[in-house]
Amino acid sequence: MTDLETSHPVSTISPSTAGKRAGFTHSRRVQKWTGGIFWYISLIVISAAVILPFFWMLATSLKNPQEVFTYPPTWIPKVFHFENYIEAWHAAPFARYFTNSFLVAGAVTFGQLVSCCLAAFAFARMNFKGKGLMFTIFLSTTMISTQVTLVPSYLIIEKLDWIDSYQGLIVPFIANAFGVFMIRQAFMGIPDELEDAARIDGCGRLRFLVQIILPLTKPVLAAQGLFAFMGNWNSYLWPLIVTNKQEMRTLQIGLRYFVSQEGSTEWGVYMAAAVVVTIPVIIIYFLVQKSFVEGMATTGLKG
Amino acid sequence: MTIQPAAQTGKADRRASLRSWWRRTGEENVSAYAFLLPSLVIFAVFTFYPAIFSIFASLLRWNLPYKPIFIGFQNYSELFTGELTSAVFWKSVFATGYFSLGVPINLFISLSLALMLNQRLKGVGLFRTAFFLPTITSTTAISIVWIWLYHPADYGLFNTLLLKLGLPIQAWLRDPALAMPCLILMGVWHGMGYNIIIFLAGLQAIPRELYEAAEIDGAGGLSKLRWITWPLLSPTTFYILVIGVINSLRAFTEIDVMTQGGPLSVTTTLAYYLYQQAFQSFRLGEASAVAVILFALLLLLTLIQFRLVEKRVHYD
Amino acid sequence: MIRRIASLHVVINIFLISIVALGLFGCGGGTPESEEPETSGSGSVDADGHVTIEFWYSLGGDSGKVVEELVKRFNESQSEITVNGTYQGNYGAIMAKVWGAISAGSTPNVAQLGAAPLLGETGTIAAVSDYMGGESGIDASQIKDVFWQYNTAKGTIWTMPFNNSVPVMYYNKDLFAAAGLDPEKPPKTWDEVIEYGKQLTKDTDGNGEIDQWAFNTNDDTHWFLSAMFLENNAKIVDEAETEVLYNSPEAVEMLTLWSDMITTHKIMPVNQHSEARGDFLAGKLAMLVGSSSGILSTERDATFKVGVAVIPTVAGKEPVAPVGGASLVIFKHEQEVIQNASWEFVKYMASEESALYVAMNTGYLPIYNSARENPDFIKYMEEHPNLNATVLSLDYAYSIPEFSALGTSDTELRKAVQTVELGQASPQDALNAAKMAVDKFIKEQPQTQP
Repeated sequence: MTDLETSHPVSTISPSTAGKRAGFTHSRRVQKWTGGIFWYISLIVISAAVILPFFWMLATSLKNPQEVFTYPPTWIPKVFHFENYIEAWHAAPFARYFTNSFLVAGAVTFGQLVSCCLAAFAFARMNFKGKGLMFTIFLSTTMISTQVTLVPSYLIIEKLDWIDSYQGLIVPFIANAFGVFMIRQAFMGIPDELEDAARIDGCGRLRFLVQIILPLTKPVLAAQGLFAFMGNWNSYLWPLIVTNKQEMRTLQIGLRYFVSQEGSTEWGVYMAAAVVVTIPVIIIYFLVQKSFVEGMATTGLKG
Repeated sequence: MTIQPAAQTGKADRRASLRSWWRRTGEENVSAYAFLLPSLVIFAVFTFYPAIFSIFASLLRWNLPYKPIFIGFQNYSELFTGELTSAVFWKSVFATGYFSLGVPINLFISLSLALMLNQRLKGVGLFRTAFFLPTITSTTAISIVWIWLYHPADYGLFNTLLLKLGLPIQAWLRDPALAMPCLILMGVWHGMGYNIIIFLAGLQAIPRELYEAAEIDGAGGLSKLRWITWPLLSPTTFYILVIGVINSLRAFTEIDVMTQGGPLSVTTTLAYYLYQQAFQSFRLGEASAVAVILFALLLLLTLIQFRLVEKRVHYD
Repeated sequence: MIRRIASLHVVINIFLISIVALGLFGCGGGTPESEEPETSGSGSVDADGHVTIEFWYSLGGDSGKVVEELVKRFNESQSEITVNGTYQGNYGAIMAKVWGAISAGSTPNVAQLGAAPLLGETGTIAAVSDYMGGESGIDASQIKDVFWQYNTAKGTIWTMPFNNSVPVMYYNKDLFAAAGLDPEKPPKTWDEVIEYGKQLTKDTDGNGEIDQWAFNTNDDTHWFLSAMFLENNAKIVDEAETEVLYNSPEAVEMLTLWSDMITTHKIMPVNQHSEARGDFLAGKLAMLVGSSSGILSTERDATFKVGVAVIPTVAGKEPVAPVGGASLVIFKHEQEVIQNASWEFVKYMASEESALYVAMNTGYLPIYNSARENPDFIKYMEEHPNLNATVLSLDYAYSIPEFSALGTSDTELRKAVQTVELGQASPQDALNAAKMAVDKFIKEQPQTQP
């Protein structure tokens, strides 16, 4: 508030502008309306451009190899070759890949939410020695890129005999500093009175966290959960090196191997596979859309 | 507060001092660390230990399958000034910087789109979904689709568009001059949804009264943008900048799927160079050195950003 | 009262959280120390003496199914050994996994991968030559010499031949006919390739861009370039394997020829090797140089008449078909019974019967000398006349020495090709740069075994 006033002095209303105001509102309404149309059209054009690749992906997935390579390219396939999907599904054990990805991403999401909520609670609502240091330590983990930790982490997984196991895919990822910060923001927004009241009632910290704070911050948790799920669903370098057996592969690896099999470039089937891989996340997104956006809004990114 | 009698025996003393230690250190401290424990354990094992391991490994010549030999800082001197290696290294530093141009571009585009979406128009949810779709699609799938879009023959979609405009077709990902811009474009498309959502949240947090007050004083769109929106949005902008830079330095999937670092290594960023050294050339010492450099770079950039931009960020 | 409750809660909190933390981390042990590669890895013997061994392979798709079938047959043919086979990705992926496994001391028992003899230097594999003599051995003379050479490094035969291929030239008979060329007479020399090529490069839809190219090669350009070097009598590496020699005038001549095909004669597109096979299958490419292992799948996927010819050569010289492909590797195991089981499995996979099965169900070469006389194989050849080129190539097969820097050398050659194609360096400079990089790599290797 104060910034506004100090950085730019508010001009006073002078007699000359007062008269303008009446006619001002009328033309403003017209301006707003035409402005509205302008925005609409721009948004439509831009979103169409953004959606284009998806449409192309879908269109190609239904074409046979000949049509895929024709110029000029057709937007709507002459014949809908749904068999591309069947072929894609059979070319690799996608059902198993789906299960693996789902299990792993689900477990990671749950694990992250648990560890992040606990840590965020400590940062947001507790005072303890070394808090600043711990905060910096957590922050520093965001800057250590996956590549730096890749080979040593692999060797650790090897030692623990966790290759080709679900633990190997899950455990390294159940802590996430970004999540801690995001959830911390939300936790900081809980009024102190609630906590005092709870304490008077003899409610311990953990119970306070679980029974009071978590329900109040559901949107943020949903948002963080979605990010965690999406992030892990997407991950591919780690599953690549930590799994050998085909039964343990995740969807991304399955898709990637699909691409380089025998160097063949059956684009129709590839696009079908890509569509199949993409759909679940989109469905989940639509399901949690509302609380997700709400969650983003309440993270209080004002610092 | 209980009043202690003047004389105390030894045992009672110790119990008392233990209790007062407990009271002083505070169960809060112990509790807090208990809360931090799960995260800390994972970080210790899978983040800090490997990072330290990498630092030590960077001081070795460790070309699999041979045993490692201690060579001190030779890996670093090779990377910075060595005859063959430094050319490749500095090229990848340049590529990394080039690739990170996507961050400000992304910022600009997402902000513009967020501003557009912030008008109270009907069906904003639909547009928002459209913009967010790329972000939630897996990078692998997207990379494959975009390889197809960028196909160098005349039936590649982008080339078709060029031909319609009467321009010659391009090799896109196969052209050393265009490969990086192609990746950047795809990266922006992929990442802007996330930024838009965050910007929207930040925009919606700005009280409408400010705008109305400004309108009454005759402020036009641009003035409002400059004096209200931009300053109040600055924490959000800053957050997006920092996250964007960190992510751009870590980008890997799209490079591996679309260009494998080529053509002629123009898209070999530091992160990809690291992967090549570790998993294709099996030179773990050199790879670790690159990893350490990458980490230092990230740290430096973040610190700089925090310093520089902190002054300009307005908190209320 | 409150404080006491608070303390109780603290204890409970810590207890609960520790449980969570421990539960998450499971029975994880202490920090791993860096260790020397051990020789034991997978594989086990149970109480009855039944051995189970782990087999990693890198063939996918149809070829992968052939491998799986052979594994099944082996398991069914006897009851002392069970083999668990897993697909590990392509040659690059399995190599990374094997190096990682060696480092961590968890190698499989048998693996099928490329550049396998180089593993001999690691001390983790058992040389096949140790098993070849003796009762349980095989007759080495039955397998064509060149395949033994392919599996030799520094004088020892380390690995067992399994799936090998040579470069061949696929061509589109329909496009040939359409251009007025005889579909049964593919070009034999590079000059003929250029001559034919000029008539096969077209802009078929009149939009100003060439969309039908005459000639291209697959991604492993180093392989085909090496063939051209050898045809022109340029050496790859010297006798002592201390330096590479492909910056010689003969070699530069070949890389220049390659470059001319793009710039001067315009029969090959720039830097489009990844798309080559797709283009060929779509009828947009007339001649494609690729591995013979793809013959069957190409015939199946093409909608036009496919022809296959021996790789073209320099006028007046004989073609050279450098052997490619992968081999079977036996990893050492401290338990002799497990290592012997590995050999039994390898012996089965490389037997005459198995080799024939591989040759008749994939595009890979028949490695036994007797194959050519085998009636089943002869009949098979009559059904797939395109495989004649492969069998003919056997007469020109050559094994490039497996020197330690082979991997790096291949990468550098591919880089040189790309640089020249993109006009960023002259062939001489590109090959000089490649030589410098590879020689440096060779110098860095310790001269003795680790």
